[in-house]
Amino acid sequence: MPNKVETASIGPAVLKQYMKEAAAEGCRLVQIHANRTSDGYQLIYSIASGYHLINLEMVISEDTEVESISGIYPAAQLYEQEMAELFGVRIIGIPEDPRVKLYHVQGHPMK
Amino acid sequence: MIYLYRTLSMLAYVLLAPLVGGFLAGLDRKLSARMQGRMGPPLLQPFYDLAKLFKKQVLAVSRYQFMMVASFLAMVIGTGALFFGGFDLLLVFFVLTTACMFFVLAATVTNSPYAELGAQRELIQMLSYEPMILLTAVGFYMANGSFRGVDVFYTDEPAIVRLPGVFLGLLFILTIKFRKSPFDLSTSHHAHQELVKGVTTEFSGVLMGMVELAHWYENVFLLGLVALFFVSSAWWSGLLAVGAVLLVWFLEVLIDNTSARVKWNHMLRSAWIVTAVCGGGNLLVLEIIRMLF
Amino acid sequence: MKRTIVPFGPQHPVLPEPIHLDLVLEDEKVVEAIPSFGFIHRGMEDLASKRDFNDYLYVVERICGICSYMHGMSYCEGAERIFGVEIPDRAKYLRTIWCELSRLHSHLLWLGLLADAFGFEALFMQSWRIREKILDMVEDSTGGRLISSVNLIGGVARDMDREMLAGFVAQFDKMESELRSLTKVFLKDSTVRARLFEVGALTKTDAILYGAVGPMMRASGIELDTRKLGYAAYGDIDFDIITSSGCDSLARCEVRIGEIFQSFRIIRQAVDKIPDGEIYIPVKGNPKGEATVRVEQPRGEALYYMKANGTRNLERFRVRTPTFSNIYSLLKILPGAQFADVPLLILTIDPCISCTER
Repeated sequence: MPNKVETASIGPAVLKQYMKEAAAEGCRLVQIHANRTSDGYQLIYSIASGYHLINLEMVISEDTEVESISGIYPAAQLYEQEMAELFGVRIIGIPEDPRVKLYHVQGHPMK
Repeated sequence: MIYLYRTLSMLAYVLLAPLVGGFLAGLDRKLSARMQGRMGPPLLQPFYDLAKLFKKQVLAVSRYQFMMVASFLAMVIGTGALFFGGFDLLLVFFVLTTACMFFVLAATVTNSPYAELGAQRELIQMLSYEPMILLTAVGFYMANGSFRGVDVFYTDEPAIVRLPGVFLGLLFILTIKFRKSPFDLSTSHHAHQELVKGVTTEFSGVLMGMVELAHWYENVFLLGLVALFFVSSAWWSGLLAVGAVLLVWFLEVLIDNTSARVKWNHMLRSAWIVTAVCGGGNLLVLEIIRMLF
Repeated sequence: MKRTIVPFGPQHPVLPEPIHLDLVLEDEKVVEAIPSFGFIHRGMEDLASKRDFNDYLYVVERICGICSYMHGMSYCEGAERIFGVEIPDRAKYLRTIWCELSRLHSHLLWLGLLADAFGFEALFMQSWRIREKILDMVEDSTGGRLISSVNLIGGVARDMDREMLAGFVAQFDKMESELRSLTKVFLKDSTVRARLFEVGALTKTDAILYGAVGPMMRASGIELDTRKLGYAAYGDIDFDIITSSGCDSLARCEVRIGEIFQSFRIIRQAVDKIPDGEIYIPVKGNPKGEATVRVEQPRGEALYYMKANGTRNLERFRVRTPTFSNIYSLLKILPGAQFADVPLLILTIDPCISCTER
């Protein structure tokens, strides 16, 4: 089957360490997105090494604070900002920077 | 008698230059379009455009703008009139420089970042072509023994014979003066560059029309400068000059369509190298010949 | 030194789509670029959970004009994966051919825009003239020039007969020779080289960390092309991944030009190999499950995530478009560049802002 995707689950506590190791191994951060669940969010971090894609799933409650990984992958900043704006996911440590204000929307439309 | 001719020539320039300039602009657009595989606008399109510009409402950003642009137009007409009246070439060139300064000022008073950057680039362009313009005047002095334009009619042979290098150098900087690619840095013929329309970004309506008109006057004057290299006392030299002018015009359009816009440092460097090698070299050789014989 | 801030966009003649950059300049040198987005955010991801999943296909195709075909196809691929259906082989080949036609017209569009950005009008016009022929082909085969709407969940809606395919291939020879002389100017002309060479360097490590994808990444020497995953009929087709180690704008131009010729090669092979048969199998019921699809759009790798819960609406539809990922690379290469380079650098990522903001 083409486009085979592996999934794994990950907790917010080990996320940063995992990403650090992934970056050291030369993996790419493909994308991050959030899914709304009944009582919280499911965040999916897709990282790829070559053609091999892993979706790291992280199930969190609405109040869980997730640490930003933009220090490791600068590109993560936009994805994190998107989740924070559209879903209201609490991500701490996104650089306070007007530049990443993405959609200029009222509230969190996809929350 | 000669004074009558000179006055007539000046009058002819003031009255006819817009017609010739506009016609050449139309020809330029048509030729460019054909080189790019398009149909192109009607030949008289520049005149329609100008008429429309003069009909439009003026939205001046600054009250000094009109004065600056009007001075620019007047000075350019003055430059051409002095030139076609056969006056001192140095005088002609200094009036031209003053005209350009008014143009730069007109852009600067608008306080628009695009116009200001355009004005900066316009200054750099002036810095690039001024040395060559001065060398041209000096070249004519060395070839004809006089700075006066009218004196070419008393020479036995056209100046191009003695000044081929100066002519080449002038051709190079003409691309800057005509605002043609690769040197259309400060403002290009269409607003598809990072500066939008550079120096002329904030001009609209009548103001833009005046700038356009000045541009036509300027082009005719510059082509007159090209013709000056080919004119002598012989009657056929006039035909030669017209032929040369048309060829130069075609060449400029061709270069415009076969090159990308370069950056300012590239322009400055190449303009000065060409000035030193072609212009300076030519004058050096003339001086050596004069000393030897 | 005095700093000036030049607003660049959202309406600017060199920008094909609205993105805003505040450029902090020192003379003509860019010190900092501060972007702002969101001018054409339409909330399309959210809309997926409110519309019937069959109808939503037509919305997906309208995420962006130029990338329209690939969006539609990827949506169908994702839905087919959730349903667990295998579409007929002929449909797979047809999809491949249309994919490559859309890549061709997108890359030719890019070449034209690039030429326009550095003020080479003749090159711009010629690039778009060749592109026009590709668009004619798309129109002949699908009925639409950009938004073709030929994909269905379970196959494609239109077939191409043998004569039409042969007619396309017959035109390729002439187009390729025209393109060869055209692209020679892009790569060899001295004024063009002066504008592109060593402008906007992005190293291999930075390309990974800053999330570059597609030609942007391959121009930094990373050999990765999602087509090799073998969606549609790419698994049966032999093609090269074009890379360059130049890391600069010229390298990105080189990579895209190389890909244009590869696209011709792919279409030729697909036309040779295309089997006869059905082009569509009906898919019934509502989807349940999730799928992640990765495809190689002209602008780079795109990722689609679909989650369905057995109702008529998708629970979540996520599109990560190539430009979204490339924006950070742009912000990385802008500081230190000349102001005159800015339009070029924006274009080298081949921005598609409609895709980015959805």
